[in-house]
Amino acid sequence: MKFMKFILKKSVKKISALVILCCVFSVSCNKILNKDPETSLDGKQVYRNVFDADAAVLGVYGKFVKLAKQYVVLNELRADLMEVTDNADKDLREVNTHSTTQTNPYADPKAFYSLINDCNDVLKNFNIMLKDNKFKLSEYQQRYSDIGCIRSWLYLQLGIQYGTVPYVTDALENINAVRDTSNYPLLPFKQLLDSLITFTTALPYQLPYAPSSSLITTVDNTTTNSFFIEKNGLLGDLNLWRGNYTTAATYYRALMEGSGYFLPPATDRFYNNFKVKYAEVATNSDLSVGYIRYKENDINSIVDNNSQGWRSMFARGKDDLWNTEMIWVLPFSSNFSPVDPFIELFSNNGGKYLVKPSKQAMDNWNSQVQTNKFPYDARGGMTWRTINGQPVIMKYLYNYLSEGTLLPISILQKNGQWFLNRAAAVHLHFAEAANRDGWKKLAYAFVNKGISNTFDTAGATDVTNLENTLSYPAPYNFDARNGEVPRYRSDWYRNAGIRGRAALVSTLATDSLSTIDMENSIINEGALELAYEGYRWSDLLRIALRRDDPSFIADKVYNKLLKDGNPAAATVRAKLMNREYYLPFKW
Amino acid sequence: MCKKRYSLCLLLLIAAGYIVGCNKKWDNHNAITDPSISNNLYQAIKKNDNLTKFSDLLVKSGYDKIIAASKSYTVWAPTNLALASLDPAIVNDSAKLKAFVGNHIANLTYPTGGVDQRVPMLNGKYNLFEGSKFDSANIVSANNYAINGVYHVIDKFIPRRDNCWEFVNNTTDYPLFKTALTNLNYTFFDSTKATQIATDRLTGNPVWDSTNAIFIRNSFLDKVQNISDESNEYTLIVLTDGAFTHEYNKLSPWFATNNPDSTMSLASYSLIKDLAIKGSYTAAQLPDTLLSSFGVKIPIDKSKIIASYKTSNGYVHVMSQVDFNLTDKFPPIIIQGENPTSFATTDRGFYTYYREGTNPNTGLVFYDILMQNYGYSNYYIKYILNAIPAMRYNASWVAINDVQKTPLWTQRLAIGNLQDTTLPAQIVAYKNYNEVALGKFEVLSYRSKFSLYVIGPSGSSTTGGNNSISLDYIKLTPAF
Repeated sequence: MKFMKFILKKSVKKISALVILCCVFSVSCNKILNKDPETSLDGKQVYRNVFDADAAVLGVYGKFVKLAKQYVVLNELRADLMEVTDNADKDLREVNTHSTTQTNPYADPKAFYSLINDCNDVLKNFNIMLKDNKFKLSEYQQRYSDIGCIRSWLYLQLGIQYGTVPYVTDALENINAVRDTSNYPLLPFKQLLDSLITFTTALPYQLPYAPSSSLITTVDNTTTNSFFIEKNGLLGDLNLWRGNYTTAATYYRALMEGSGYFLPPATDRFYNNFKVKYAEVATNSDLSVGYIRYKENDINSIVDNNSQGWRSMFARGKDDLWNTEMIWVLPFSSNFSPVDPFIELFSNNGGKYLVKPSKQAMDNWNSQVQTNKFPYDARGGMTWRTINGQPVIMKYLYNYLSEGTLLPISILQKNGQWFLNRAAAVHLHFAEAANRDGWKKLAYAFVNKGISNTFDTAGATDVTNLENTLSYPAPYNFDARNGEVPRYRSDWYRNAGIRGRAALVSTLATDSLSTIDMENSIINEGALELAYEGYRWSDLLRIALRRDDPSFIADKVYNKLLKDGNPAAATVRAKLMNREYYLPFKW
Repeated sequence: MCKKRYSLCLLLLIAAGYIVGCNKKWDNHNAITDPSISNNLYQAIKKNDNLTKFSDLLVKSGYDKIIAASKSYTVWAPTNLALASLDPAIVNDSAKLKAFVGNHIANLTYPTGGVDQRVPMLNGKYNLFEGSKFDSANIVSANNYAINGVYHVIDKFIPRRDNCWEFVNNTTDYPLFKTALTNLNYTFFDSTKATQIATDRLTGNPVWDSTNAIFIRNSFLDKVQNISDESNEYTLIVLTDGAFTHEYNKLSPWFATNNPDSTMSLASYSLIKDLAIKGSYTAAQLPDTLLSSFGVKIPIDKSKIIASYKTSNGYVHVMSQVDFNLTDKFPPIIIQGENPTSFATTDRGFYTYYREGTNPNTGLVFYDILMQNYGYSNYYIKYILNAIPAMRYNASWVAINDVQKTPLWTQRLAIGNLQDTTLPAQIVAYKNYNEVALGKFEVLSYRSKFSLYVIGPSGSSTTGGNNSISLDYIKLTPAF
């Protein structure tokens, strides 16, 4: 009994010790077990302050770049400047011949809606943050407008590609709810544009982020200026699509003018930025097609490198000159995801070489005449070139291929950029609006040799009443006077025009051109200047819809396929003539 | 337990029964049922009573062993009747016999009904196999299969023929033509075939034992057409001595040199280079004009064909006259301005422009050279031409001045040397895209290298375009 007692005593002691130990452990475990996960956030940890808001904005842009490949393929391969190579897979071939099937990833709208849903969520939370005083009103306005514009841009793209789409502005738990037509009816393109214009116009902030903003910083060795969508540019585009020409031109003018864009007046940046500036013939430190001075007649003296001339805008770093042209550009780097999709698409060295320039596009460049009488447009030779006997689209490869040898600098270092908007595109869109608004000569000036040249009289020294359109109503009143006696250096005196900057002779004189001819000339200039940057399909579609003339688009696509020997040419033409412009909206 | 074991035994028994029962059928399912393919080609041919003579020839030539081997072959076997007329000289010469029998056997299996093609035979020749014909023989029994291929019975033997090159080398009837061709033979050392026996101590170059590495080649085969190649077909025109002499005499004045041997070889080559073309034309198929590999028209008067021979790689036609037109033999010489050989000095590159433009007269793109304000008196651009026949030429040029109305500069063409003033200086008119005649000059003897100079104005000016030279191309048209 005594023994038993002892045992019991011992075990009780032991048990209680155990219990105590357990208690201690469980108390300390509490902290261990409840530790927050390190790689994801829960609801309490987001949208707490302006830095969380910045993270949300950059997160949206981080996901946005994943659309780059789909965007360029849909907007170029469906149009007339790009062709598939022998390496292209079934999906690309379907896009090329307007015959996408349900499984075709390029025709899938999900990626767009997934990002739209993210935008909706961010917008909802920004509103909550503002209500809870988590950040200042000005901080809210800048970020809310940015994400709002991204969403409108995405919807504009959906409209261009699919025609009729559901317009969803609620944050959804599951994006498949988009398919619920009782909640989200399908909006035809025109109504969609109206909704987008209403929403986007009402956004509280239209300028870029202020230089002092916490979003203007350096991320992964790249400064974030020009990361963000240009809101006036988007508003211009939306109104141009809807046929509101004066409104569109007003927004474009605001962008080109740079007022409120933190550019000090009468400085180089003020004169140069977004005004398509004239060539620096002595130094070639410009973005023009140029030749070595006094050797302008020599084909071998063309300025064709990564630091000077027209080509350099696709190759150079973000310096002052780059900033004069580039408005919205997103980088791809080998240091972070996603991988640059353009190298796989375009390069025959280190990539898969899936698409190439069409014969039609090449013929177009080769039918231009330069001011030195050379029978081609040098921009063609910089947009694509022959490497190993194959025509390669170069615009996206200048950061990947070595300048001299055109071999990859380092085969796995896939660096590149996605060019979303630049000054030349804004000028051409402005010209399109001005032309439709009745200001044909001004449109002609923008496309050809610039305002100063077009509104000049040869031999005149007093330019007081020349070189300007100040008698025109806003937004068409430009002052480009450049004179010595009396001296003028007006805001637009450096404007050279798109063809002027490309060292090309002008198109036919303005007086002999009809509005339609002028419009054709503007759209064709876009093919020469902006090829493969994703403008072509939308340019063709916008004009075909505006004129209700399907042949405008059908004949161009037909000729591309015909010249490249594609047997589907006639079928595709018939389809487009039947106004079947859009991809099937299939989930 | 016991019951279970019993049923297991039963199962095994049944299975064993099936295997035993299957055995016979299993053996039968892949047994040879077609007796014809139990033999190899030689056995099959030997068993054919109609082919005993050919089968004897197979044994005698040693081909019986080859076509009994495991590779696959096709044999076109002539019947006993066909072989009755075979020249005993072939049968008695083992080399000739081997070539003869090898002319009826090919690697791989060629059943009838395939695409028409020239089939490579084991003797290195090619024979045409089309439809139901093998060369000129008819197939009397087709597609007799054996283990290692197929044989067809034909009603005619096909003799081994010379190719076009062998024909010329073996003929004794046309000595002038033959000499002209064989004179182009040269010895060639192929280091890949040689054995290195030492290394030169001074130069480090290898020293070769050239015993097995010296080959005879022929520059006609290199430069005109390789008429010794069996895999392609050619038509060769051989000239009788009379015709050769006639044409040679027409050509030899233009190849005047101070060495009769050089003249002979140049003129002979100039004659025969336009007598071989790719593709086989029978006499009936020949058009009245052929185009040689150098773009020269060959006039064919069929009445002058005195003999035609089918060769293993085409046809040889012997002709008693081919009346070449001299203007075809000597087409105008074009010298492109943008391909200069050298300049007066090497330091005026900055003032030298290579241009591309559209000629408004022709609508064609042109490339040219333009020099301006280079500040050098009598500056010149030099062009070296190769192989210029001795004759008179009419010189002209296209020199484009689309840069200045005033001053209009003058430039001239000097022939052979800088001091030459045969041709007068020319004013380069503004926007003249046409050919401008410069005058005549004569080249007295054939020149393997010949220089032309385009000389700019005198005075050294660096402004106003006074010092300018422009040239799209120079054209030298022979004047007979």
